[in-house]
Amino acid sequence: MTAPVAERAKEKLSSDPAPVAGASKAEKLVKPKANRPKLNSRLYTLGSVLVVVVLAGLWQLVGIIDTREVRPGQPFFPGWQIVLTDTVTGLADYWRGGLGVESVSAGGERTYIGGLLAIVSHGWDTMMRIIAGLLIGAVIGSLVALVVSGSVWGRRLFAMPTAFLRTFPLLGLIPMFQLWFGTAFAGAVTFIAVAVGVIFFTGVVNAVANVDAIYVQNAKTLGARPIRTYVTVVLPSILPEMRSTIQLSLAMAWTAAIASEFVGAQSGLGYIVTHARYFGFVDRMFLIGIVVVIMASLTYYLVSRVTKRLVVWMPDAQG
Amino acid sequence: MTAVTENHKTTEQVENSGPVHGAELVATNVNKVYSRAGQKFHAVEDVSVTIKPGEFVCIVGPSGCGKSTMMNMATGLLEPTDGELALDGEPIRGPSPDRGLVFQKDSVFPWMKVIDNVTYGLKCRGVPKEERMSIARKFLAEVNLTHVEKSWPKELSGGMLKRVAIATAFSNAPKLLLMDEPFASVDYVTRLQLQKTVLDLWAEHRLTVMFVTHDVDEALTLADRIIVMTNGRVVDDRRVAAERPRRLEALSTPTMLEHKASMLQHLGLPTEGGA
Repeated sequence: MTAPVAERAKEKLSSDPAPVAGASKAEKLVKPKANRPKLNSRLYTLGSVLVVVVLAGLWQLVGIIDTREVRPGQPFFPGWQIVLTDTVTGLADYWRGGLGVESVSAGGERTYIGGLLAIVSHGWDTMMRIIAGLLIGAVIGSLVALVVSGSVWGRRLFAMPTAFLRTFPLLGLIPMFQLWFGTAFAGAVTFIAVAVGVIFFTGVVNAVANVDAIYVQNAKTLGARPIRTYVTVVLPSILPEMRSTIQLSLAMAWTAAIASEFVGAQSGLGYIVTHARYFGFVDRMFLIGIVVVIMASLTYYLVSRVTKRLVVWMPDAQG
Repeated sequence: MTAVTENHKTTEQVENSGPVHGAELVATNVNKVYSRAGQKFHAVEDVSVTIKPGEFVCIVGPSGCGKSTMMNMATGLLEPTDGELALDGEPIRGPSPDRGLVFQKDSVFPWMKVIDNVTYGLKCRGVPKEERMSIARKFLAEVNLTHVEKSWPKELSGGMLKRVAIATAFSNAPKLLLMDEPFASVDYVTRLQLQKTVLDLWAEHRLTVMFVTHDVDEALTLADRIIVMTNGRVVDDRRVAAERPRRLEALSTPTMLEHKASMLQHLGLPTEGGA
């Protein structure tokens, strides 16, 4: 990411208006370009909402045209009239009871509140695995990468293994992780951490390799020793690139979490999907899919907001 | 440059005007050989020069003549293949704050505010906060950037960024300031203003300056002494004893035109009728 920064800086240089004679005191700061006009931005938002509505309409249309059923009463393409009613109450099956709402297996009724509680509790389980896996993977992956890329020998020795790691079909090895670490919390978290760790490791190694040498040389000629150079120059200059690594790892964390819950887990959104598959509940899988999309989007948004603060210094920081 | 009117002094007068802070740079039989695709390339060949304390020396030459390699060896970012460079008798091994560098590209850290950039070197050297802030503010004032102390570099123009780099280099009090085509990418008027800024700071702080440029006029405006390099060798070494400050007209005096014609000849551009 540092290269684009330098490029943009160069562009700015060449597009500098010639200052008038004796302009030093009158010089004004270069104002960052104004954001897209508000009206335009609203139009885009409206457009996006419209696209979502159209897609939802298309889904409904497919359900009307194709009336095949997985088994009697369970359509291949359940319309919204099912997904937003029976499906929600049906999810009450996964509520384990508590908060004054009895579980279905203990004789409770299938209610909307039961369904919502099931979504929230299983979503919470998945979320906790993601957060724990992300944190562990990010910290360990980054630290190992920083140590490795801190020395020339480290970079040379790890260049090939890093390239291998990136192509590693990790999702195919879920059963192995479950044998090693179990199918409960620890197994899922370890799996997510490894998946995320690999992304962070390769991301940091690449970002460090892309640091513009001029900044490191500048620090050295100003008297900075290696550790200070690393902390004050290398770390901040990899932040812009790390933002995309974080986004990438978030996507991976969601995929890994849901996938790890497909096999053997006793809770989580992935568990509901697998369970629904046994009984041909396409509507439940579909609804959980939507819940995942909403939750994942929210995490993207939050992470994007938080990390934007770290790169406030970047020219045209967007996010 | 109407602003450049005060203090008419010759180089000699400037040299005698205050305590010299600069150090002596001695290069002895310096060679730098690169190996590219199995072929050896002599970037610098047997260069021996002595730059006196407080001297403002320009190194002029076409691209690939070895001037930037020479500069990088003086900084300590590159090691000579053979020969030695020494500052005040101390052999140069690796970068040191004694030898400041102003780069051609933007080197100001974009993630630090202007004031933090200027104080960076002082912080590395353990100067207490109050002292380093006052030093940095003094130099920011000298380059007319007091008003942007708390700004992000992204908010500054190219010329202003150059001045941040200059203030950063000077506030670190180097004994030798190396400038590697620092104004190559700024517009003409800004370049003249930056030249004046550097000359003013040099006259005040009396450090040794080694300034690399491919622009003969820039060298004639700035230097006490001009070294011309081609193909890794020093082909010309001349003193420019013209009065300072040198206005644009000063470059058209017979002596200056003679200097220019002679240097251009060394650079492989024979001129007709002497100019």
